[in-house]
Amino acid sequence: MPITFRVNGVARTLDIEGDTPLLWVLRDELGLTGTKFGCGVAACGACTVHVDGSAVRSCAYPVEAVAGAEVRTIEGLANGDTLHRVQQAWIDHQVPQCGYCQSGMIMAVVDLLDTVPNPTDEDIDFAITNICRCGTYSRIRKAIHAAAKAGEDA
Amino acid sequence: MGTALQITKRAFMIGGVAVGGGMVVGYAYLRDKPGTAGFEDWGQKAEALNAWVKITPANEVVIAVPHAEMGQGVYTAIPMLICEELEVDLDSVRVEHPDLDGKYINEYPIKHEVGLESGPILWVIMRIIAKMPMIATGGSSTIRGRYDDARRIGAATREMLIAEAADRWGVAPSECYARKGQVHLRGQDYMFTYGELAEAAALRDMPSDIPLKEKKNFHTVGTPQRRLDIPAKVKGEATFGIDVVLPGMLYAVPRFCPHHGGTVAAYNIASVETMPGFKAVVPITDGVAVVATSTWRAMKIANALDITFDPGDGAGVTHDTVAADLRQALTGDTIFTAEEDGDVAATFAASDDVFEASYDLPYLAHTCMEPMNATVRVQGDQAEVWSGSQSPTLAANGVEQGTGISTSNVTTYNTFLGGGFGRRAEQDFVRAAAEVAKAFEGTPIKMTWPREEDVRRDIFRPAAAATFKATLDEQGGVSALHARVALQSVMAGVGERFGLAMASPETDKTMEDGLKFSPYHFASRLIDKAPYDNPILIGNWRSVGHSHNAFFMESFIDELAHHSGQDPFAFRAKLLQNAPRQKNVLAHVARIANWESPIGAGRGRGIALHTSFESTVGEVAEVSVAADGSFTVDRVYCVIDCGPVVNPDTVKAQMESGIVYGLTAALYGEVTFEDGAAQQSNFTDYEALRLYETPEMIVEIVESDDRIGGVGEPSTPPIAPAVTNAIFNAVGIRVRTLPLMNVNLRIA
Repeated sequence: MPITFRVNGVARTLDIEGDTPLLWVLRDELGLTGTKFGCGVAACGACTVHVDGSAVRSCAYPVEAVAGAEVRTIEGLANGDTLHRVQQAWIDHQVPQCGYCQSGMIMAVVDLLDTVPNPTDEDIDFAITNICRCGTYSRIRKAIHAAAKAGEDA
Repeated sequence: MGTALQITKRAFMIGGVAVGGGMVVGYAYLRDKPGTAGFEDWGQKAEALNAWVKITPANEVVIAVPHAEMGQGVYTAIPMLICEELEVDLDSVRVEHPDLDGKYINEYPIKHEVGLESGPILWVIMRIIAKMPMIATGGSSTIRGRYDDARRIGAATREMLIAEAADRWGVAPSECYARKGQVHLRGQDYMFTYGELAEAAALRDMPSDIPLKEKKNFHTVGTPQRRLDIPAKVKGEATFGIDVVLPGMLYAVPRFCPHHGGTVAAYNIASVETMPGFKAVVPITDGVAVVATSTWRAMKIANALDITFDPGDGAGVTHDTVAADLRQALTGDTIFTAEEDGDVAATFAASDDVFEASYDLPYLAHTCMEPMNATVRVQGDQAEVWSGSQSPTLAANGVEQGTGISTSNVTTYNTFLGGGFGRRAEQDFVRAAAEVAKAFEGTPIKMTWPREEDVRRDIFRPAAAATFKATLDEQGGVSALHARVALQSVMAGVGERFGLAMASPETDKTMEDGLKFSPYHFASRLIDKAPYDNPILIGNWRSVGHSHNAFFMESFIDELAHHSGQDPFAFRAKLLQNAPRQKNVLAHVARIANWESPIGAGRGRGIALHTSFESTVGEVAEVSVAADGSFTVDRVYCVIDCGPVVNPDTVKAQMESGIVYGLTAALYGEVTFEDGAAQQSNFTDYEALRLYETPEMIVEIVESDDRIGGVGEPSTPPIAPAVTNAIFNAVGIRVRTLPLMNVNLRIA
């Protein structure tokens, strides 16, 4: 049965099994490979995208649940050539190493800052539970504070 | 035409006209003795291709880096070294992986030219053209091996450009200088861009004398530079192996026998063949692969497949049997001596205080964020492989193993790696995809491993056990030390899988890495090892033998200090009397950690020092232990001496990374087995450290002009003992086995 939703502002209609996780629809059907597969059980956060503005772990989020919704992925985060302030903070603080987890990490942080514009360390500890095996966490923390400040100054 | 220059017995610089015009200069490194004699079994001695520089007529500088970028920053560090000597700005160059199909080298002139000159050079070129260089990234080796080579490429290219400009102006080369991609004439406004000079410069002889810049004149090397791969990585644009998309490809998902040493007994396709997207079930080594029209469909089918396994040699292998067998091996008859100096036995016999302690460490998984995967296409007697591999050479070998197609007919395309940690220095993930691709000739097959397969079918860091004995002299020094380890041989396992006679337990140096050649002064010493084996696959894991041996040694040194009533820092400093570089790092980290200052009740400070991959890292951990036994690692001070520094920010990032990786293992890392099958399968039961429990890290670099060392691994070995030594300092409980999640720290 066809499922219609919007991805990064573009309407998409797919005839696909409704239990297919959103992650695999994005990656295999729509070619949006910036969203990563890490665990398949919503434990690591590498697959984090936004559904109607909120972060979800797309590897365990059936596509039928996004019917009519607006999905945003890492590919839709920048405004043309202008990076989102979280992406810019990631560059300024030289966060990524292998980089594989960072799409999901950035999407989780954007959601955090949308909800809590100026998070404390405790807010960050509570909200950002994504796994990074390169161990970029301390730079992530600094970059979140910097992005929060950039948001205030904007 | 092209030129070649022999730099050393085993290294050649090669220059020529690039395809499409311009200039290309590269560096080929002949591995006369790869350290692993078995590589010669591939028919020819292996050889490594280093970076290439290409300058186009449009003045574009392209640097090809053949090494695997797995987060360690080589994609930026090699270009930094080249740009330094080439006199171009780092942000003006483009970096790419080399394509060895001739896009880089206009092969005929070089083949012709060097063919007339020299057999070995022709051989090097032939090997390049055969697409089979020995490229491998591991052992923190890239910058160690390339610090001078990469600079020579930049310098040679610069000198050829200057010589060409000097000829055009009719002046001596010494009248000219290079700056920001241009050659200038001293005192004049005359200038050529490199692009204007490149094609003619490429026809010039390679300079026989290649002056390298003095460190004091460096503008790029040694100052923090922004990594060139980061912009793509924050936009989701970096292509990892798992992201490869090819027209008409099918998707495969493996289902391996979970029992190491076991086999697939039977499976029933009827149970799944009507499921959406089903294409086939293909037998592969140690399992089957489901082929379907999408990754998710293949995963779903693989899960539903009715399949049974025979534990085979894995039957009866459990955590407890491994632990018991390792203990038994330590007291067994087969012992190999790794290092012996003085008469340890006599010293113990004469002492009435021989201090002894035993330690045990578990199997560890790698859990790279990007699960294992590879894409392979077979066409007739040719094959192509797209993968994030620490070694394209091994990737090609994996295709050969999986298809029978000779490695010389295999083209490898290397992508970014979503973590390597030694796991991607294997070829099993390529072989599995290749076996499926062979059954689907002409169709590209992308195989993605579910996380559960990635963990259960990991090639683990081996479990290890050790006993240490020592006796002290009247001044509190160590008069005798005997360290004995028991574990499976990583190199024997690697050799078996690659079809190479790489090492036996007797010759596998990784087993004693970090124990042998200890910088500590022991008046007499004996390091030996007990071989042990079982069917569990084991391999390289970030820092390899150092990962367990540093825990053993640095725990025992700490115990000896307390046993003899000495301060752990002062005791180490005393033992480092003949090792000034290590002593300096130790003193530095103790100083920034305020080692002497009081730390408060329930808190503790622990120190550890370890030298690996020619770098020395000292760490001080601060922990807090609550009355209920729960604890936090609050802060880690880390000091590294890695000799000359290329990108200081990358060195610091790698220190942080290695600490977190080692801390994950210290706190949570343990794979246990039943009938040879791993009992852990995902991040739910094989935890990774998360942001909230990551300590504050203070990293400092000791500048030194000593030999350059690696940075990808050396911060991992000291962190576990630094933390357990801190726990002892806090609550007096000595931790001799990991992970800490199993240890009760509640004070009785």
